[in-house]
Amino acid sequence: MRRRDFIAYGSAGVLSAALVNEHPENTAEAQVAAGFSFDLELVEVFQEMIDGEVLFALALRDQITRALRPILNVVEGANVTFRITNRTRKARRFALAGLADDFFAPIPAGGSIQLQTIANEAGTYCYLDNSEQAASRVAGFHGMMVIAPSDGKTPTGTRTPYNTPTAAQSMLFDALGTARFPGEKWRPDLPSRTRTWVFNAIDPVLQQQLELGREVDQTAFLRTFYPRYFTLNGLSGYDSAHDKDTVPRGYVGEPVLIRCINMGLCTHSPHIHGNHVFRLSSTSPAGGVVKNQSIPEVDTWMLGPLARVDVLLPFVRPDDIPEKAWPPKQEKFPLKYPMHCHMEMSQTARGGQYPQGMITDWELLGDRRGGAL
Amino acid sequence: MIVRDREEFEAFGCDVNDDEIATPDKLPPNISFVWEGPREVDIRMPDGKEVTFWNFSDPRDSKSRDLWPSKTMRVKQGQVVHSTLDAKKNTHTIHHHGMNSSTMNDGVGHVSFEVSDRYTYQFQPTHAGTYFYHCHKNTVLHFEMGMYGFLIVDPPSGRGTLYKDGPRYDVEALWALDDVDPSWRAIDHQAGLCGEDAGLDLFRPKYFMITGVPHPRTMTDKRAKITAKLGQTILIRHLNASYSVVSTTIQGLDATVYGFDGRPLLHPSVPWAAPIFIPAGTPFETVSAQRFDLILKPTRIGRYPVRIEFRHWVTGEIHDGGRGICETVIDVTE
Ligand SMILES: [Cu+2]
Ligand SMILES: [Cu+2]
Repeated sequence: MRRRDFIAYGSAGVLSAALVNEHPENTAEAQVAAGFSFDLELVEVFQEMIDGEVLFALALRDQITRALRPILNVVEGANVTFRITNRTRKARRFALAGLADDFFAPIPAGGSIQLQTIANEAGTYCYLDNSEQAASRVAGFHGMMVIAPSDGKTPTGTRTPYNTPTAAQSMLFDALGTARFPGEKWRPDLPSRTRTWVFNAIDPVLQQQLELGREVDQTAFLRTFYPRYFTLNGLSGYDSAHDKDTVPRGYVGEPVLIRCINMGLCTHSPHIHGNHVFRLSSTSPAGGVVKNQSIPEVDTWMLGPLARVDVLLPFVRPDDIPEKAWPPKQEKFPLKYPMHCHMEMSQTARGGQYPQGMITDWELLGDRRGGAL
Repeated sequence: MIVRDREEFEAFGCDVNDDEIATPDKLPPNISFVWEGPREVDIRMPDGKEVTFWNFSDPRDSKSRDLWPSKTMRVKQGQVVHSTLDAKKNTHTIHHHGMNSSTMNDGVGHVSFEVSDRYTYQFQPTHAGTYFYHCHKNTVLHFEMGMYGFLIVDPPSGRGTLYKDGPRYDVEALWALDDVDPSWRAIDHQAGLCGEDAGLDLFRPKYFMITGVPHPRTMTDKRAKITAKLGQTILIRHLNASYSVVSTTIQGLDATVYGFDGRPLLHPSVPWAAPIFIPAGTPFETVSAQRFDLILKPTRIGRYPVRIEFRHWVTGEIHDGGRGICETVIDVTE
């Protein structure tokens, strides 16, 4: 009997947070020189859905931290080594969308492999298994890889998430912390100023097929795919709205970068309340990072399958609170606002239970850090 | 097992706070609205069937009673707005979508409350542009049932300009693109909230509409069809109010997106943004709740066809076996 782990989704995020801190940026050069390596294993697990339903799933796990679907943080220009053991019953193929889609060799069931690539452009990426086209990816073999810039500064020295940011990106990041956006610049050194949101939608029938080891009919796959659970960082509804690694929290003037990837098969429509966001990047048809030349300010953005989009949540005072009602006196902080997908079927779990779907909240703790409320 | 606080968990969706609440930090308004709702409005479809929608209606305006989508809210940038919901049946909310209001004034039950009686939402729009308002309770169902209307914020100078120092327009069209699943009409307003499978993840629309007009009446009805004189500038406020990926193609006329979700794309305050040029005949895609403000400046008289496709969120196929489309025209006359 092959070992399978029963895990609760809720514990995954906590562990991955430790990884975020592992590589402070001030030693970027040293890190690039040393390279990065990850010891990972592919596992079959059972995971609990928001309504208590337990489903089979696939996942990549960090062998050291035990984090499921870890966020892999590396620095641009570095060599990245993956040592992967496949503890599932099938051969799998590890891929990095936009970086190394196809050229990695398959990993036989029970086997191990060492793979290498170069982190060649800063941005938000994802890893996945493409051995059964989308099936095992949707079933849980996926996660985010973040390439931090080796330099990442605008011409005037402001930190950004991109190397050689576009003129538009530079103008926006330079404007943070000025009269236009009172407060601070974006702070890559503070983990709380970056959130990573992995979107997915789960079809219990597909999970079961994979559990039983059945072949997935690739031709009928999309037409029969019927997602019934909708997750953000593997969590839904109440759980994702209370997950400390998912929820952006901060004071006015503490902008947060949100890296979004959609590992599922639905086209989503993430919509945020309370602040508009700035759409910083998108994905080219070939999978590369597109640094936007024009940055629209939006409350809703399209996130199709495999899309990777970075947005900046400026943490400004919500614009449309009347001037004379700010700061609010009769309303309690934190102000809480949802971010949810507006293709509202995604707000359900097993056909109901609104809003126990693809949603989280963000929290505005006060007018300014240290200020009186 | 994941351990959760049971009471908090239920307050998230099944048993949301519906206490009577007074508007916090209430100010004297510059403009106010009252909405009763929901009211049932039946619309006869081209196949002869009547389909029920729910609207918000203005008790001071009898014509609004049978309007669907609900009556447009039109305000000016800088006005303190009061929008009062008088929940006539059950509990509902109003979320003024795109307005960055305070939490209590945002209309989202799980972080504030749902309205069982009356509540006045307060906000002061800072950006002229295209918004909408909708019920945010059991939204998957209540939005599909039609509890929405446009919310237009004009710049201080009023209609005719999209935003201060922005493009001017002579002809304005409000397009709410919607897909309608008649089978959802049998679903109870509370359905699913406390755990039952109400089928609210299975959406199979059969009717496709522009601003309350089902295809193919969209070819002639003035709510969809646009008529302009040569030399006039057209503004289309394009709202995806559906649960589809909407693909829109305007034949023969170039369009430029000057506004996005109530924010300008060409303005000194946003040097990092730029308008988006959409050449004639090029499809552009939107997802639910996105608003594009399109400016068209026809240079030749003629009839310009518009095709709007409603595509499935997984397969990308046009809904209803390829019938999920709306067609209309832009007539440019002498
Ligand atoms: Cu919402
Ligand atoms: Cu409602």
